[in-house]
Amino acid sequence: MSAKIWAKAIPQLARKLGDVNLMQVVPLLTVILLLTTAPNIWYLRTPLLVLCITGLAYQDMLKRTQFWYIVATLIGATIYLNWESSDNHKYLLCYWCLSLCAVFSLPTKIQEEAMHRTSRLLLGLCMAFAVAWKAGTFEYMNGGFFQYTLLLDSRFEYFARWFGGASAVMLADNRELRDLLVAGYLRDITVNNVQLGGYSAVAFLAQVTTWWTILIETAVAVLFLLPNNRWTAISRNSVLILFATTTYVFATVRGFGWMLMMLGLAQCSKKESGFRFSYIAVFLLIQLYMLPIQPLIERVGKSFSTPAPCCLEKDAPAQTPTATAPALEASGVVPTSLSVAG
Amino acid sequence: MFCEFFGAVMNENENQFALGSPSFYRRVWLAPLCLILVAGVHFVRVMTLDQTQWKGGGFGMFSTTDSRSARFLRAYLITDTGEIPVDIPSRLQKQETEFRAAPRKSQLEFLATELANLRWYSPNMRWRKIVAQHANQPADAVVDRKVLYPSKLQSLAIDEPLAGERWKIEATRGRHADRVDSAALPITAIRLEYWKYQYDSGENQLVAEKQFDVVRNVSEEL
Repeated sequence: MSAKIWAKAIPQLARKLGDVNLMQVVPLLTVILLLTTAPNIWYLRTPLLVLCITGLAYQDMLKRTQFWYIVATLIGATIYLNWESSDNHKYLLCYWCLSLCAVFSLPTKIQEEAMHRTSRLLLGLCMAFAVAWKAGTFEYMNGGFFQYTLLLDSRFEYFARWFGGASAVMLADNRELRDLLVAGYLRDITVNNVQLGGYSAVAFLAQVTTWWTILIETAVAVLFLLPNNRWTAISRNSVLILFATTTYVFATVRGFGWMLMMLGLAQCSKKESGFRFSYIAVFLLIQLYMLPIQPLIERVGKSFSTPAPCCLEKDAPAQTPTATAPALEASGVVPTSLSVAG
Repeated sequence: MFCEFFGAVMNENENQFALGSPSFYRRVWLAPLCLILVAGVHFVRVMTLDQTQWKGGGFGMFSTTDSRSARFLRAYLITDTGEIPVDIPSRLQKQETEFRAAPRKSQLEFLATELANLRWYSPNMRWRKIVAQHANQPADAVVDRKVLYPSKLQSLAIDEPLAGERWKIEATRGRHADRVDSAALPITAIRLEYWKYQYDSGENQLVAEKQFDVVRNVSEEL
């Protein structure tokens, strides 16, 4: 009985969420994104926060050209003054605010159509440039980039361990070796060459990841830049949702993920209410990915697979990279971790 | 002008903004054109200024190992008795990050000059001097601020770390410089080296190579 109610209620909820007024929801989501990724510089952060909070309180403001013009100017100024540390999604956010500024300067009846088109172009172009850089870089195409990333980038640690079988200790050692190369001179150790471990574990996975990424990003770029029809609409939405759900579970870059989902939602027409709901759901899912679910899954997995608690206690410190280094430092086996500016 | 451009006066002539009109397309393409323009500038800078693909709005992230973290600086204080390795102080972090994103020799020269203008001192040596000067005082003696400025003449050895330890050398400037005057290191010059490592996927090695360096003499006034 209850299963029948749920089976009826979920599609109804999806339809209701999918039928949202985009011209209200998208600016609101943009403001939420702005609030969570506000710049660190106080003289730009303060006016932006005041503006966004005012926008949330008086939502009519979010449909004003002037509002988005000021927001775009503030973000643009932040990027210009801090280009060396601004991530690419900040640029995309700035272009998006400029788009909203332009869209709301049009008559109400054609605003939604303008928003669909401009968001589709932004999505297609950003993916096209991403693919072009990858395709034009030799070390990406030969799998070297992902090999390096899987061996050294802590954000991909669980991916390398679960799917490549790399050991946590080896990955932690690789990172420490890299730190030694960069900052070892501060301890009078001049090292110019370090041998990393775990090549055999990640080599195949690196190739698969390289080609999967280039294929799916190319598909997104092409489908979003192709003329709009029923077939392209279904395929582009499906591919973008697949891209977001698979990529951001490991590459925890919330800002970019949210930005893509917002652009995805903004380009959905009224007929695509199912996809609208999916974009909102993945928007929330990306936030869920930010929670420490990977260590949790690993802990749950271990508790099922390890029979004797005494063994778990004995093995645990050796398998957790974060636990290993401090433990060695405390025991005086290795010196305090070297720090490297990111 | 702003209103005219964005059509805040659109009600005057709605046909001008009809679906498919030039005004409509101008608005649709405004942001995408900005994206193309910035990505074009980024491409030129990557090709000509060795800017990293990761930064600058060209969407070249996750395509190369040549990110900012693969480019790093090594700084050395040069004294009459040898060289002391030091970290770049946090006050110069923005300039350092900018340099690593798009390295130019002129920028490295600027950084070296900034480092040469700082007062480098050993915090441990300062406190050893304070303690040495205060050693003969009775416990109930009233201590004033003079105790914080021990004699410059009193000479103590630079606190060298044990093998594997980090050098404990700090930098300061402005009004704080007088405070550490007694423990200032006798530096003659600063050497700043720019290094870059590359990943050799065949050998699975990180290989670092010095790109260029700059030496700046420390002025007599300091």
